[in-house]
Amino acid sequence: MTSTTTPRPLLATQAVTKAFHALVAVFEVSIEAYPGQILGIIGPNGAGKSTLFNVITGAVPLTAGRVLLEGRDITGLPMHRVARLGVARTFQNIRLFREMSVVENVMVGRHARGRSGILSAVLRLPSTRREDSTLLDRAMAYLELVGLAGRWQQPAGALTTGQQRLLELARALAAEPKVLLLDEPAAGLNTRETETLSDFIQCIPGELASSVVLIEHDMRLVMRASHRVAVIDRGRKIADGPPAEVQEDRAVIAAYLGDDFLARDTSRGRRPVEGRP
Amino acid sequence: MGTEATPLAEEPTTPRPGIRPAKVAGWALLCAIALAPVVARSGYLSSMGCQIATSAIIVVGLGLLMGYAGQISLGHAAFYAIGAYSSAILTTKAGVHPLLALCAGAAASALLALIVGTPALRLHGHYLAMFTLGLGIIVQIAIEQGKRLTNGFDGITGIPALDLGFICLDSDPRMYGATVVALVGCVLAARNLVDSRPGRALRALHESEEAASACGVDVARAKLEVFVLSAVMAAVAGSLYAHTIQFVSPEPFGVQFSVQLVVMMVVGGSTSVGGPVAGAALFTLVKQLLQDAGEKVRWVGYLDTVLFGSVLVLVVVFCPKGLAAVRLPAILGGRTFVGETRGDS
Amino acid sequence: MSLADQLVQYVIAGLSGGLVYGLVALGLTVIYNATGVINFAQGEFVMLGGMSAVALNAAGMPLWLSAVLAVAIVTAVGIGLVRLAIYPVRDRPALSVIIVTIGASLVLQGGAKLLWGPDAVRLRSFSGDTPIRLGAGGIEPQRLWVAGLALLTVVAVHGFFTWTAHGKAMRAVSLNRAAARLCGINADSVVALAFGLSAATAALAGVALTPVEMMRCSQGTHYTLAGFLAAVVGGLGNGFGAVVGGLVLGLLEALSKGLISSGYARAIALGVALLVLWLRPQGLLGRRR
Ligand SMILES: Nc1ncnc2c1ncn2[C@@H]1O[C@H](COP(=O)(O)OP(=O)(O)OP(=O)(O)O)[C@@H](O)[C@H]1O
Ligand SMILES: [Mg+2]
Repeated sequence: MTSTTTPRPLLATQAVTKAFHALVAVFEVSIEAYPGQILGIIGPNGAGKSTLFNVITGAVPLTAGRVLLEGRDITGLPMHRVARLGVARTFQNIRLFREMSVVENVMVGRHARGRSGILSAVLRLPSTRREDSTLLDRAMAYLELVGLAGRWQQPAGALTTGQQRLLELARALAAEPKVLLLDEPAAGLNTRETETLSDFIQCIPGELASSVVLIEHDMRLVMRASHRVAVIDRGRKIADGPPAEVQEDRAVIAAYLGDDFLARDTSRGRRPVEGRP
Repeated sequence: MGTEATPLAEEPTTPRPGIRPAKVAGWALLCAIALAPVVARSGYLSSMGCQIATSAIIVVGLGLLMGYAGQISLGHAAFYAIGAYSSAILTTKAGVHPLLALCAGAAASALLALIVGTPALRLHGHYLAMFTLGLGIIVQIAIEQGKRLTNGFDGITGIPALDLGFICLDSDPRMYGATVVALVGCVLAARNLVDSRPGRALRALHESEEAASACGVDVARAKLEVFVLSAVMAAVAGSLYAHTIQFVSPEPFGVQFSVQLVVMMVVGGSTSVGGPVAGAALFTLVKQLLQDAGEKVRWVGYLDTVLFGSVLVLVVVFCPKGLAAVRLPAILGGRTFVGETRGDS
Repeated sequence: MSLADQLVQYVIAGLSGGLVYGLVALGLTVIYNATGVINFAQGEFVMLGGMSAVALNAAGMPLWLSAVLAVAIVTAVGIGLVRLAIYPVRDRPALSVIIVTIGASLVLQGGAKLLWGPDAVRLRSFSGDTPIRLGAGGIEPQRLWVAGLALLTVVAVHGFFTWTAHGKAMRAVSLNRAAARLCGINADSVVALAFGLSAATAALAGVALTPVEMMRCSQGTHYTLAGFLAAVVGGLGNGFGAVVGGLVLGLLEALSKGLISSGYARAIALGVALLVLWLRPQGLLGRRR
C-alpha cells in the first residue's frame, strides 16, 4: 500500500544510533510512524528493536541522531516528559505494578492526564475526589475494552501472562497516547489469544491512539496488522515498506525470514482492515 | 478477551478486608493509649502518651518515605530538632506566637528537606541514608555548639504553653490531647495520600521506576515531595514536643533517635495505618520499661540497643512488612482505594 | 610554636586520622564491590577492635597479644554477621539489606555497651607517650603507629587483590557475579571473605587508634559515616579513591580543628564531604555514570 498523500509523520527517528560501550545496538536507524497507521518492526533476536523503543522513550540516552514527535524535537527528554507528550509503551518483559490492583495499574497509566497534587491529595479536597472518581470510571472503561473488568480488584501479579499483557495494553491506552509503542505484545500468548489481540490492535489507530508501532516476532500478526513494516538486523534498518514488498525483499529474506517462510506465508500478505480507508 | 476461560471461582483472590488480629490489636492499642490518661488522670501516663504520639507522628511520615517511596532516612531526628528548636527559640527569644513558630519550624524543615533531597533522592537508597545520617550529625553538632541561639548543652527553658486562643494547652493531659489530634490528622493525611493520584504514583515507582516513568510519573519529584512531607511531619512533632516538655536540650535529637525511628517504623510496618502507631507505642514502652529496670539492675538498662538491633534484623528477615502486616499479603491488602470509592460512585 | 610548626602537627594528625578513615572506606569498598551492599556496621568493627583490645589488655594479656586477638575476634564477628544476617536477605531489595546492616550495627554497638559499659576507654600506647620532637612541637609516637599500620594494611590489601587467587576471585565477582559463578568461583564464600577482610582491617585501625582517640561504644556510627563519605568522595567502588578520600577527610577535620574551631571540626569535615556528594555524586575521582 503506497500512500500518495502521506501526511507528516507523527513520530520519527532520524539516524538514531545507540552504543553500549563497544556494542552498537542501534545504528543510524530512521523510522516514521504515520497517523492512523500501524508500523511493524521485525528483526532477529538482539537486533536492537527494544533498544530503539528505549531510545525513543528516553529510557536510555542515545548516542547520536534525533527523535521527533509531531515535528518537535524530543531527543534526550526524560521518560516522564516523553510520556506526557503522548508516547505510551508496553514492555517486552512485562512491567506491571504487581502489588497494586488491576484497576489501579490502569489509573497510574492515566497519571499524566490527572492534575491533583500531593497537597490536595493529603487534604482530599472535593476537586480531588471528583477527579479520582472520573478517573476510576475511565480506568474501568479501558479494562472493559480488554476484557479484564471482572478482575479489577485483584492484584496485578495474580493475573496470567496473557492477562498481564492485556493489562499492560490497557495501562498504556489509558494515557490516550498519540503514539503507542508495543513491544512483543503477543509473546507468551496462545494462538487464539494472539488472534483476538491482532484484531484488537488493528482497531487502535485513529480510535484509541493515533498511531501504533508494533514490535513482534509473530509474522502473521505483523504482516496482517501493519500498514508498513521496517526490518532491523544487527542494529541497522535493512528494509522498510508495505508488508508485501518487505516480504519479497531479497536482503530481508537473506538476513532474516528464510525461504521456508516465503513458501508458507506469501499468499497471506496484508489483509486490508475493514471499516477504514 | 481470554478472560472468560478462567472460572469465576478464582475470583476472591483479592484479600478481603476481613478481621486481622494484628490490625484489631493496633486499633485497640490506639484507643487504649488514647483513653489511658483520661481514665487514670495520671501525669506519668500523659507524658508517656505524649512521647508515643510524638514519635508516631514522625514514624507515619517515615513510613510514607520508606514504605512507599522506598527511600530510607537516618536523619529524621534533625527535622524533629528543627521543629523543636524553632518553637523554643522563636517563642522564648523573639516572642513569636507558638502557632506561628510551629509553622516556621515546619517551613524551615521543608526547605532543608527540599535542598537535601533535590540531588540525593535521585540516587540509590544508601546515598540518601548516608546523606541524612550526615545531616543529622551536623544538625546535632550545630545545636550543641551554636550556644548563642540554642544555649548548647544547657538547653532552652521556659518555653510557653501552646495557646490556641480558645484553649491554652497548659497541662500534660491537654497537650497530650492536642498531640493525639495531630497524630490522627497525620494518619488521615497518610491514608488519603496512599489512595490518591500522587500516592498511587509512589506505590507504582516503588515497584518499577521505569514503568512508572513510562506512565508519566516524575519519579525524582514524587520522591522529593514525600520526603518533604515527612520532614514537615517530623518538625510538627518537634514543636509539639517542645511545648509539652517546655524545655529542649540536644540530647533527644541525636542520630540514635533517628535510628530508633527507623526501628519503630520497620517493626510496626508501613503498610497499614496501625503500623507506625503500634511500632512507636511498642518501642517507647519497652524502652521506658528497660530504663526503669536499669535504675535497679544496671545492665538491664544497657540491654536496649542490642534488643532493638536484633528485633530489627529479625523483623526484616522473618516478616519484612512489619508486625502490623503479619497476615497481609499485598501492599494494601483488602483496603484498596477502589474498594471504597466504588461503592459511593 | 610557630604557625608552620602547628600546621605540620595538624597535617600529621590529619594524615593518620585520614588513613583510618581510608581504611574503613577501603573495607566498605571491598564489601560493596563483592556484594553491592553498603555495610552500615562497618564503623562498629573499628569500635569493637579498640574496645576488645582494651578489655583483653585489662584482663592481663600483653599488648601485642590483645591486639592480635582483638583483630581475630572482630574478623570472626564480621564473618558471623554474613552468615546470620546478610545471607537470609541477600536476594531482597537493597532497602532490606541496608536495614539489616543497620540492625547489625545496633547489635554490635549494644553488645559492646552491655559488655563494657557506655564510658570511653583508652588503650596503652604501643611505644610510650614521649613525643617525638619535630621542630618546636612534637608528635605522639602512636600517631606514627596508626599511620604506619594503616599504610601497611593498604599495601597488603592491594597485594591481596593483585597477587592471590582469592583476591582475583573477588575482583572477578565484583565485575560479574553470574560469570564468576560459571567459572567455578563460590560467590558466597567470596562474600564471607570480603566481610572478614574488611572487618579485620577496620579492627586493626581501631586497635591502633584507641591509644590516641578514646573509644566508646557509640563511636562506630561516626566511622561508618566518615568511611562512607571518604569512599564516595573517592568514587564509590574505587579502592585507591577510598584511601585518598579518607586522607582528604582526615586532613579537613584536623585542619579545621586546629585553625577554625574544635567543636565544629567534625561538622565542617562532614559538611564539605556532603557538599561534594551533593554536587558530584560520582565523587571527585569517579566518572559520571
Ligand atoms: N542496557 C543495555 N546494556 C548493554 N547492552 C544492551 C542493553 N540493552 C540492550 N543491549 C544489547 O543491545 C542489543 C540489542 O538488544 P535489544 O533488546 O534491543 O534487541 P531486540 O531486537 O529487542 O531483541 P529481542 O527480539 O530478543 O527482544 C543486544 O545485543 C543487547 O544485549
Ligand atoms: Mg526486544
